[in-house]
Amino acid sequence: MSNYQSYISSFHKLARNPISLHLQTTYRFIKECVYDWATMRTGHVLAIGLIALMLILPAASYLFAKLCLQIGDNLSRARTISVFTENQSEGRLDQLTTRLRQYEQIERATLVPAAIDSASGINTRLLEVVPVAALAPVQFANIAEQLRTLPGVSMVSWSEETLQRNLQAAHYARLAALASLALAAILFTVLTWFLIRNSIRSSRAVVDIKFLLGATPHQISHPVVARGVLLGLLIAVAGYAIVATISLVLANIVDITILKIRIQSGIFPILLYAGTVLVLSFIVAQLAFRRTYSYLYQQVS
Amino acid sequence: MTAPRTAVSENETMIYANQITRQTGERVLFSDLSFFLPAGSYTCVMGASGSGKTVLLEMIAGRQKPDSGSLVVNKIDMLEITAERLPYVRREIGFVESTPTLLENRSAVENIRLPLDIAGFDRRAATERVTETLDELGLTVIGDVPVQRLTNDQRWLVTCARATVHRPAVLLVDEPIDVSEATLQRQQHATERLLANGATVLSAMSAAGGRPPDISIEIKQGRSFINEQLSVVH
Repeated sequence: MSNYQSYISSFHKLARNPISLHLQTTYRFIKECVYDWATMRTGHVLAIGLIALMLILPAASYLFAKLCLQIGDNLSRARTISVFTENQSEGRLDQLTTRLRQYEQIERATLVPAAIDSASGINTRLLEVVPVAALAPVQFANIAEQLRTLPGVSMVSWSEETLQRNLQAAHYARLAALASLALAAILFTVLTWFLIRNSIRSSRAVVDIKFLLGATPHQISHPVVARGVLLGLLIAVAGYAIVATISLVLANIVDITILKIRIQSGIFPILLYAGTVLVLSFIVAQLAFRRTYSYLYQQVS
Repeated sequence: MTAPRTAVSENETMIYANQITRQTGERVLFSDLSFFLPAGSYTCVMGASGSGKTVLLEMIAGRQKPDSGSLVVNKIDMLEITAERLPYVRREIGFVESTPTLLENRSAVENIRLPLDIAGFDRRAATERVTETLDELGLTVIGDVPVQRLTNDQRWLVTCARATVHRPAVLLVDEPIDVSEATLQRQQHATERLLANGATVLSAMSAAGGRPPDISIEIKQGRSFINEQLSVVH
C-alpha cells in the first residue's frame, strides 16, 4: 500500500468514528478560521472563541495573578506593631504616626529619634498601630526592639501568632499567582500544539486532494505557506502577551536576573523578553510547518 | 466478437498499455497486460475483489507506476513522465474513487469547484460549470452543505461531479462501496454526457442497468482477457 493509500485509508477509518469525526471537524474549523474565512460555513463561534481564548488568556491570567498579589500584599500590610508612648498631644501624635509608617524611615536613626523626641511632650499612654510592609519575622522583631528602645516609647507589642498566620496566607496568595501563570503557560502551550498539529493534518488532506486533482507544487504550497505565516503570527502574538504577563507578575513577586537583564516592571525589559518570544514563536510555528512542506515535496517527488 | 456500436477511430488511441506488470510484495497482480482504448470508448474493467482493478485505474491516473512495460495515456508515457509534467496530465483525467476523498469541512460546491480553480478557470465560468454539473447530477439542493453532513450516496455523487466538472479527456470510475442503484444511474447519466463529448471512460463497475461497454477487460489470476465490441485491432 502506497503512502497515499495508507494515509487515506487511516483517515477514513478515523472519520468513521463519530467522536473522532467531531474532533476533526472542530480542528478544521479552527484551521479554516485561521487562513480562509470564505470556506467557513459553521463553527464560527468555536473558531473565534479559541483564538479569543489564546489572546485573552494572558490578560485573564494577569488579572488573576494581580488579584492574588494584592491579597498577599494586604495581608502583609496587616502585620502591625503596637507602640505605647508615655505622652500624647494631638498634633504631634500625627507627626509620630506619619514618620513611623515606613520601615525605611525607622531605619534612619537620625530621623526616628527626632520624631520620637518631638512626640516626647505627649503625656498620655497611647496605643498606636504602626504598619510595616513585607518584613521577615526576624526583621519584624528587630524593628519592634528598635522601637522599644526609642525615647518616649514605653512599650512595644506585636502578635507572633497573627504575624505567622498572615505571612502564611500571603505566601499562599503568591503561590496562587505563580500557579495561575504556570497554568496559563501550560494552557497556551497545549493550544499552540493543538492548532499546529491540526493545521498540519488538515493541510495534508488539502495537499493530497489538490495534488491528485492536478495542482502544481506552487499551487499547493502557496496556501500552506500563507497558513503557516498566519498561524505563526497568531501564536507569536499570544506568546508575546503571555510572556509579558509572566514578566510583569514575576517582577512584583521576586527580583530575578536572567541573561544579565533584571526582570522588573519597566516597559523596556518586558518588551525585550516578549519580543524575543515573538520571534521564537514564529520560528517554532514555521518549523512545525516544515513537516507539511516536506510531506508536500515527498508527494511531488 | 460483435459489431461495433460506436464509431471510434482506431487512430485516436487514448490509453495504450503494453505488457505492463504490477506486483505487490510476492503477489503478482497482473503480468503482461496489454490493451489499447480508443478515444471516446467506454470500457469496463472486471475482476474479483483484490484482482487489481483499482491499481490499474491508479496507474492510468498516474498515482502508481507499473513495474515494467509501457503505459501511454493521452500520448504521454506514464513511466517516463516528469514530476513537473504530471500535474498537467492529471488535469486531463477525472478519477472517481471508490471511497470519496473530499475536503470535509467545505461545501459540495467548493469541492466540485476545486479542479476548475486548479485549471485556472475564471470565477464566472467556474460558477456556471459547477451549476451545470450540480443540475446534471441532481445535487443542487445540497450545494452549500458541508460534505461531512452528506450521505454516502451524496458524497459519491460529489466525487463524480468533481471528476467530471472540468470535462476531462479520460474518466476513471472505481467501483463504489454501498451506493444505491439510483445513484449509479445518475452517475451513468454524467458518464454518457462525457462520452458524447468524446471522452474515454474506464469503469471498474459492472454495467448492469446502464450502457453496455464497448470493451471489457477482465483481470483473472494475474492475466487479462479482453472482450472488445469495437472494430479495433490490438
